[in-house]
Amino acid sequence: MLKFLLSFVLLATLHFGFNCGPAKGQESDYLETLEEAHLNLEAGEYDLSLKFWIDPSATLSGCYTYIEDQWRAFKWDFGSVVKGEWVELSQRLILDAPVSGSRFIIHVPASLGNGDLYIDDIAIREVEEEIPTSVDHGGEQFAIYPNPASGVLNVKSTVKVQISVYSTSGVLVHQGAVDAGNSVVMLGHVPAGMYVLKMADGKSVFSKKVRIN
Amino acid sequence: MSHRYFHFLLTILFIYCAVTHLEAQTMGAGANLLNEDYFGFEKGSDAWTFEKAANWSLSTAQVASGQGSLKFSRQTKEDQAALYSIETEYTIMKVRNAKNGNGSYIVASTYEGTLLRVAYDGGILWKNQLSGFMNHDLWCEDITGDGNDEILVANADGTVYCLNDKGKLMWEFSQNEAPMYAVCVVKKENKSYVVCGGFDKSMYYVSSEGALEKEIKSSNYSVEKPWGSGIIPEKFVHNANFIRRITRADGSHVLAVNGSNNHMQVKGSIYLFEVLADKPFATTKIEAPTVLGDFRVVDPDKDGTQEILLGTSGHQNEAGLVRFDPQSGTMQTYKFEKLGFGYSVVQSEAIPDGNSFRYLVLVGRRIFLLSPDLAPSSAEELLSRYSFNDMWKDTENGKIILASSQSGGSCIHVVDTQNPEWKELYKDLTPPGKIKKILDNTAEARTYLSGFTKPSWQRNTLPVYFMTESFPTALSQNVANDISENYQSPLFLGGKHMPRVENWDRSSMTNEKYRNKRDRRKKYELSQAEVLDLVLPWYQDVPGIAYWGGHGNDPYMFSLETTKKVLDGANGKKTVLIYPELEDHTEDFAWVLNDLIYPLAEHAKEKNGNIFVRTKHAFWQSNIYLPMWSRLMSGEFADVFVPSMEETTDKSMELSVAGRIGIWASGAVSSWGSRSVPDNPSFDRSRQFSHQRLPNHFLRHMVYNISYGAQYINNFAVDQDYMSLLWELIAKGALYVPESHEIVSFSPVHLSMLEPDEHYVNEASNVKWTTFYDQEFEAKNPFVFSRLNGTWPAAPVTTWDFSHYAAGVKDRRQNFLPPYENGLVLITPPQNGANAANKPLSGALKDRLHPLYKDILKEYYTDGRYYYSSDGAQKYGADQYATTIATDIGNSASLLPLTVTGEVAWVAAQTDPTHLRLTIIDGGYLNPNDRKATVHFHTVSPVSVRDVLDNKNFPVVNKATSIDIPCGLFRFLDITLDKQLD
Repeated sequence: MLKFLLSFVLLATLHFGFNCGPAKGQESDYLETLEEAHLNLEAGEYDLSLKFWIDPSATLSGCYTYIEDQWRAFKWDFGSVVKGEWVELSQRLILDAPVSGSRFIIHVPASLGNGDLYIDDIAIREVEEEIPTSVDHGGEQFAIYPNPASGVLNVKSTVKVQISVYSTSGVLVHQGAVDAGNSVVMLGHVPAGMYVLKMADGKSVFSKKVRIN
Repeated sequence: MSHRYFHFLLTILFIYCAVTHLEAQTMGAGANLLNEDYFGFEKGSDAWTFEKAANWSLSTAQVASGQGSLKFSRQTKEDQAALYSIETEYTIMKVRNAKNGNGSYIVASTYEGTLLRVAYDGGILWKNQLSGFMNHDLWCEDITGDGNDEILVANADGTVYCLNDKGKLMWEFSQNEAPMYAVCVVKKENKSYVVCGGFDKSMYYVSSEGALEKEIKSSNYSVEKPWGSGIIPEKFVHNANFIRRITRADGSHVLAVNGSNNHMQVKGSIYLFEVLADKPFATTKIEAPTVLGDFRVVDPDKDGTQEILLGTSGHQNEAGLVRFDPQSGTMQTYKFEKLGFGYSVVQSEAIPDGNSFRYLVLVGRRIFLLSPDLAPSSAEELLSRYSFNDMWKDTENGKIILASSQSGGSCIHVVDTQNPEWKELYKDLTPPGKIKKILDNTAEARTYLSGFTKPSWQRNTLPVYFMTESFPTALSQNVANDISENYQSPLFLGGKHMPRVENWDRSSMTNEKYRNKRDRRKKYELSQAEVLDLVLPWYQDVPGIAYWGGHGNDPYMFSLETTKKVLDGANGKKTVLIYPELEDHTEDFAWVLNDLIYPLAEHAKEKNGNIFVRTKHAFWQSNIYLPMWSRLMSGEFADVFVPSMEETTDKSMELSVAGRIGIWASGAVSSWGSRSVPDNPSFDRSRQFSHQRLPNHFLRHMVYNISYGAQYINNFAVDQDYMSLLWELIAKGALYVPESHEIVSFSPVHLSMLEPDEHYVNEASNVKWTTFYDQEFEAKNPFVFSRLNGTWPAAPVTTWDFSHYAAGVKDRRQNFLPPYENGLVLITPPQNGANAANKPLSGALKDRLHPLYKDILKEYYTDGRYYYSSDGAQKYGADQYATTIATDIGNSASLLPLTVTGEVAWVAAQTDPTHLRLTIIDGGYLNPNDRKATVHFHTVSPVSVRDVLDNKNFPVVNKATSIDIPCGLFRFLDITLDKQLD
């Protein structure tokens, strides 16, 4: 009931044109994070997604976002975006090195049109690949599960293999061997994140990304 | 909507958001790595730069989830397809285009030397900071054959950098530290060669992998010869002003080099080479009104035969376009007339015009469209408000690309000359971005100033003499009138430019050199009576006058007797006699001092007269310490001589200001002066993009100098409505004009000048010739003040250079607003030791500064080349001893009340026993920006820190406070102390 009343007051307020936010300076094509919202990301693969709502009368054809550290630029093309609805767009972000304290910048260049644009739910998610339960690799059978894992990874192999686990920045965090059959790799000591697991049987190397929660 | 209602709604909204957010939290977290309050726009505005972005806001009108979203709104832009602006947030100095598989894009170089790849839709696709030093030249071409252009950069650090189309550094090439100035690509037998050169007098062929293939020394073929007496460089060498490629009709390449040995006076020659040839097959002396600042190869009529368009760099009275036919060696010059005062580079391109073409020529803020025959009658002139740092034509799409406005702009402007609307849009262009920001910030400052009243504890403002102002508009005149009627300071002096000077009998002069000297700009035709009839009426209705008493070209424009009579006729009013360019350090000038200057000073001493010594280069930390100037330095004429600066190649203003203030603080003079004029930015006369129409850089330069006590101001009017803010800041006391003993931002460490080393004096005043580079000498001879001759435009200063360790500047460039983060390190007359006898009669430095310095001053000694012990017995190498002084300067900062870090200039002065006035200025002279400075408190405890104009308070936490400086502006901070500072 309280929420209903608050909602009513809020909607009434919006009806009279109330806008939140502080006093403003000059117009700008750019909006940037302040220090408390700057990005910190490990090296790795991510999905960057934004939700857009473009006013039906707007002529805006796109915008850009940037991650200042390493200057990663993403253009968001509104060509196929239905106006007047929330639409989520996403792109792959690959970082070769960690990003530390980086500004996140949204840029709507003047040449990309006019009108009202709403943005919500900007998200960066680590890529979670569809991991097959088993792989036929050079005649040998491997299986890794579950993925994501919570510190314990099951490995199934038809041959003895050497296992190495690396962080996305290349640091070796685990090394060992498993015999043919079902084995367990204990990874409870590593921080949550994305890792690369390599299995070598002397003839070939098989690698796969695994996520440790 | 009332404020109370507003706050009520905010409270409701907050409660609503909190309730809903709690609900969301209980639904479980996802794998999003971003803070969902900030990036889901559920929280307030403290995570984003809404304060600087009026068209961005938090909104609840449309939300995808939660209760908030981000709204962007732009409604005011009109369709400007013919000319649109791309905001980059940088000051863009150079623009080019490059190609890859996706088409053409813009390559831009910033003031700081960062390279940007900019899409035509405005996206900034990558950035590369490179060395952090100026990029002198860019060339974009596919040298690897992969279909993507590489970007080649000639950098002031002596390196050519090669980047791929992703902005990654592929290789770098360097032979030494002399700046690289020109780069291009030629092909021979299907092999690409990068050809580059600069101030080491050689040209290099470099492979597409960055390996040296061939060096061609200019001494192998140059025809350039210096002239004159004194220290002149060797004959038959040059620096590469331009290296460009000409493509013949058969597709083969010719290499064209413009060689010069003097960036201010020598147009040089064009040398045409077959690719990889040791010697040119043709050499043609340039016939142009002045030196060259632009060199383009075009084929405007598309007949397969290329021509060269040369543009001058210099005063607009000498602006010209030269069309050079490399086949015949003939030149045709188009001379621009009546462009007004200013310094510009003429840049030309060809654009389609029906079935023919027209030349599009950018000169300052004007674009001229000229017919193919360059007939003056064909010229169509388009006058805009602002000038631009560069112009380029993208031959892929025909667009003209303009770099940022010279007045601190931050946009790239794209012009479609095939759209007929472009002309009107160009004429009406007021660049968005930083230009608009500067204008808005200045207007806001003026509004705050209107409500400002000087604090009760602040004394009356010292007189500041504006010697050469004009009032061309009603606003500027009204402001000046109001100040003259209602305030004690500033004072506006009368006086005029004098094209006619005295023709008097010099036959009795025993010095032949100065007996025969004349200034070619003057007509020598007035009698003494005519001079007096002309000058004396100028005193009417003004507190005094200022005019040229003479010039280094001819100090005797007026006889001593005539000038004395002018002083007599002043009847006690102020007379400021301006003497520019008195750098001659020969015995001949010693004679002039004794024959003219000192006798005049003796007379002026009794007549409220001043001699405004407007000298260039390193004068105030070199020539002035020669014995011939000892009477000035003695303080005998402390109330007469006024040290000031003159421009030519302003590469070391951080030294000049330390030198002038050091002499003032020592008591040798009781006032010092400064000057903002259009060619202040002309640190490189071959690239004079010095036509800033918005004199924001003047305003900040003046605020800095006057905050340090400068009282004699010799400005040139550019926009007096704008500059009138400065007058009002002084009049109302927002800008505090201190006496030297009130200043508390001097470092306790000071550097005392002995009689300067001869090589240093010659080097520091020999700034026009560009061929002095000697790698072996440079390696073996580190100087305290180094890289001052004409070889080093924008070059990095050495780590042991005073400019680096004391002033905190990084390069030989426009350092009018140096950081001096540990306090201004004064360059002074010796106070102790073997040379202390030369200190001014007025007393010891420690007794003339604020009392806090009494027991903490630390003196070091130099002759500009070496450091010395106080007794002069020990000599130390500049590169060896610099660390000792740098460490002392750093440690001594803690003895000051406060210091300031950041990309700012700053001054602190005591206005009252418990109040300091801290002035902090945006330090980007031509690249202004919003700045963050940190004030570190050392020996004082502030009760409050408040901006006297907008009353903003800055909290002090852990003996420090963070100050935001608006783009293009400054803050005047009143600091209240918990107890008296004495």
